[in-house]
Order: sequence, then structure tokens, then C-alpha cells
Amino acid sequence: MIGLIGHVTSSLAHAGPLVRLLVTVVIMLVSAMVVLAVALLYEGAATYAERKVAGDIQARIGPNRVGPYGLLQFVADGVKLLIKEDIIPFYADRWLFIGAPYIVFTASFAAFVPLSYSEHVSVADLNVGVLYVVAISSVVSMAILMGAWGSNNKWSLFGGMRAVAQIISYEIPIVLSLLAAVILPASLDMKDIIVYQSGGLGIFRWLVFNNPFTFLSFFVYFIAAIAEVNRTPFDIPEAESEIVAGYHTEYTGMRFAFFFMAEYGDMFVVSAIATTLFLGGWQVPIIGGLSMPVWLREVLEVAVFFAKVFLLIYVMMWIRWTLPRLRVDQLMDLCWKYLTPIAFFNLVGASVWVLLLHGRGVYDLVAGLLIH
Amino acid sequence: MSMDASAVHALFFYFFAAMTIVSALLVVLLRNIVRSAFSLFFTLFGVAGVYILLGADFVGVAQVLIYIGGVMILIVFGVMLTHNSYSVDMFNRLGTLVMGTVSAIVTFTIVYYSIRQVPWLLSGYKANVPTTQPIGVQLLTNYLLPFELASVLLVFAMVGAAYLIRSEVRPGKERAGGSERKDA
Repeated sequence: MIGLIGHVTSSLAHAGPLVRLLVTVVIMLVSAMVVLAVALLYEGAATYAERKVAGDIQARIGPNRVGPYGLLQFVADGVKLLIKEDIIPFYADRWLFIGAPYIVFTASFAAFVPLSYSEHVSVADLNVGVLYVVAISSVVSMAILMGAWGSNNKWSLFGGMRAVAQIISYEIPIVLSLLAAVILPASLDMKDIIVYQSGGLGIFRWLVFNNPFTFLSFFVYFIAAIAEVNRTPFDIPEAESEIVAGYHTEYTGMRFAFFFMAEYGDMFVVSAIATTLFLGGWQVPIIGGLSMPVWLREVLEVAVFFAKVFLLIYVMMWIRWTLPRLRVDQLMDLCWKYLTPIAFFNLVGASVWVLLLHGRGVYDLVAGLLIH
Repeated sequence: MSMDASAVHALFFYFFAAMTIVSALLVVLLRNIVRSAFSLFFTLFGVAGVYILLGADFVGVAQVLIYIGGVMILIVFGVMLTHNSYSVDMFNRLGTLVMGTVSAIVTFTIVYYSIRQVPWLLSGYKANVPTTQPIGVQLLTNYLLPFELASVLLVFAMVGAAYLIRSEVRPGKERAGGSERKDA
């Protein structure tokens, strides 16, 4: 998208600076709107999918009244949330209470920006893409604390404290596992990382298969990522049997919906990061090496990317409706006594592997043996 | 983007500059200590935006990660644990007001003159120039000693924190808290 801005503005070189400014701002706004529209549509579909998956796993039916197969249920829910009464508790800190949902949603939405959806489809190709997503996700924890404090409710405050403790703790295994993967492509740019994983039939050069350490890292990352987005079995910040609804207890209507959508947005982002870093991103398996028109390749790449992301999201839903919730101490034990040491081990192991074998993965070694 | 982006660049610079200054003023002027702490978020975010406009993408993102994700949370927790933080009134007595004004003027003068003294390298706007790798190389070559010293300092802080919050272990007794945990 930055490339597009450069292209358009340079073709408007004869126009005044004001025109160029306006055109640039319009392009930025339009691209933001496109991403927002896609994200909201995905979030609607995800709520529907979540309820259908839950129904499936618990031998229920799930939504089936609104539209064919209940497909329009999320539209009905959206309308319902929009027209619900907007309650602000009398003793709430109005500024913090009102501000928090916006920051949560903005931060979660901003994490969609550096993702690379196909070779040419991305909003902004950032040099520090992976780090940017980690950083912007950490804003969410601050905003959760803001809403929790602003609600002036003990359940909210407990939930907020738990959320922050959990997110900050699990950031460590997450960043360490990402680091173990990133040292191979030696880049934080999402597109570079995906391009590095090309070849090997579009499957075998994925970083998850590169060496045993990145293989472990993928699982450490995925477990920690589920905790990072506060989903069961790590949902103690909003454990309804203990603290009502945690940090969003006092929120109603659209303000609640912002928190809700942010959670689903975060699910997409962490799955997209896992896909990009470990599962080859938009590399089309098997037929990716064939020559084909650019548009077809782009469509296939976007389809492959979304298929991988949705598969990971499905796994998250599956885990949510299968496993019981962890206790607070179990949660912290898992992070500090298991995931963090394993992540450190992976990082050291992957570094040694890269140094000794000059970045060649298991696939390259096996292929080299077969050829000789 | 190069030259054509200058207008957009200026627009974003003024946006982030205004955000930084207004929220920094709110930090010191608001009477509610919790709101003060939270408006620091916008100050730190605005500074990160300025870093990114200067082409220092890694520093900008690290600013968000460390200051907003870490230091900011720590400050907010500290404020929340302050006794009676709901009704703490940030009232400035005359003495502190005078002292504050004097120290503000002195600091401003020092900063102003040092800015005027430094021969700034005006390299202009450079987007999309990767900075991560040069920073890493510099940290592990020219600046290895300061880098290692900083990490040793952090290890000291971590060990110290763990030592301070450790539960007392008496010979022949259960760890404090151990029995509670089984009941819970």
C-alpha cells in the first residue's frame, strides 16, 4: 500500500502539495477501511463459527434460526449490540471507562497492518513487522487495565490485574519462540520470512520443519499465544464462574462488543503470525512451482493463507470447548516453569543449529543426502 | 515515497508532536493520579510516532514494546497500589510550585542550549531503510561492554526482586503458602 501511495503521488507530481497530501490521506483511509471491513466480516464469521464448533463438540445444534443454517446470526447479534442501552456506571471513571474499548480495538486492529496476505497484498510491508505486532499487542494489556480500573468494580479490577499478569508473563515465551524462528530468515519483515520458506514443494521448507528446535518453538508459541488472547483454558481474566466477566463486567452494548471483537481480532493475528513464521505463510503447496497467471497465483496465495489461519483458529476453538480452565497458579507454573525454559532451550538450540549448519534445514540435509 | 511524502510527513509530525505535548501537560496538570498515569500512555505513544517519522523504525517499535508494554504497566500498577489512589489530590504547595518552576526553567535551558550546540546531521526522511541489523551489529561489536553491563544490571534487578518477594523457608516446616494452595 505504501508502494501504491508512492506510485500515485509520483504520477501527480505536477499537482500541488495539497492535492498530493489529500490523495495520500484518502488512499490511507481507504486501505484502512478495506482492512477494517475484512476484519469485521471475519469477526462476524468467527463468532458464528465459534458457536457452531461449540455446538458440534457439545452435541448441540448451535445457531440455526436467522437465515439459512443460522448464517445471519452474527448480523442479528451486531444489530442487537448496537441498539442496546449504553450503561456507564455512576461511580466509574468516565474518561478511562469510555476510552479503554477504543484503545483495545484500535490496538488489536492495528496488528492486522503488517501481515502479508499474498506476494502483493499487504497494507504495509514493515521492516520490523514481527516486532511491531508484538509491540502493538502489548498496548492491549494497558488498555484492559484502563477499562478495569475505570469500571470501579472489584470483579473488573481482579480481571484486569489477572489479564495483565498473564499477558506480560506469556509475552516472554512468545517472543523467545518467535526469535528462534526469526534467526533463520534473519529478517523481521513478514514477506521476507515467507519468501525464505519457499521451495520444498511449498511444505518442507516451512520453518516448523526446519529443525527440531523450531518445531518445538511452534508449539510453545501456539500455547502461549492462546494464553495471550485470553482464551480457555487460559481465560482466568474473564472466568465467569469466579469473577463474573472479568475486566469487561461493566461494559454493555457496543462498548462490550469492542472488547469482544478485539479478542477475535487477536485470535486472527496470532494465528496469522504462526502461519507466517512457522507454516510457510502464503506459499502454495505442491502446485506453487507451476507457472500461472499472476491473478490466479495471488488468489491461490490469499486462499492458502486464510485456510492456514482458519485452521489454527479452529484448533483454538476446539481447545476452548474441550479443556477446562487452569487455576491461576497452574497458569503461572505453565508459563514460568515449563514454557519459558523450553523457549530458552529452543532459542539456544536453534542458534547453534544455524551456526553449525549455516541455516540449512532438515529438508535440505535429507535432500542433499538423497542426491549424493 | 521520498520527497513526495514531505507533506504527509509534516502532517504526521505535527499530529504526534501535539499528542506528545498535550498528553505530557495532562500528566502533570491532571489532579487525578490514575488519569495522569494513563495519559502518559499517549505521551510515550507520540514519542514512538516521532521516532518512526525519523526513520528509526526499530527504536520506535521498541519504545512501544518496552515503555507502553512494560514501564507504563509498572507505573499504573504502582499508582493503583498507592494508598487511597482514588482520592489522592495532587495539590501543589507554594514551596513545591516554586521549586518545580525553577527546576523546569533550568532543565529547559540546559536542553535548549545543548540542542543549539549539537551539529545535527540533517539526513532527511528515509523510510524503508532497515535499521534492525545495523543496531544489532553495533550492539555486539562497538557497544558490547555497555550492552553487557546493562544486561548484568537487569539480572541484578531480577534477582533482587525475586529475593525480596521470596517466601520464608523455615527448617522442618512447609513453605509458607504451600498448604493454602492445596486447599484452594
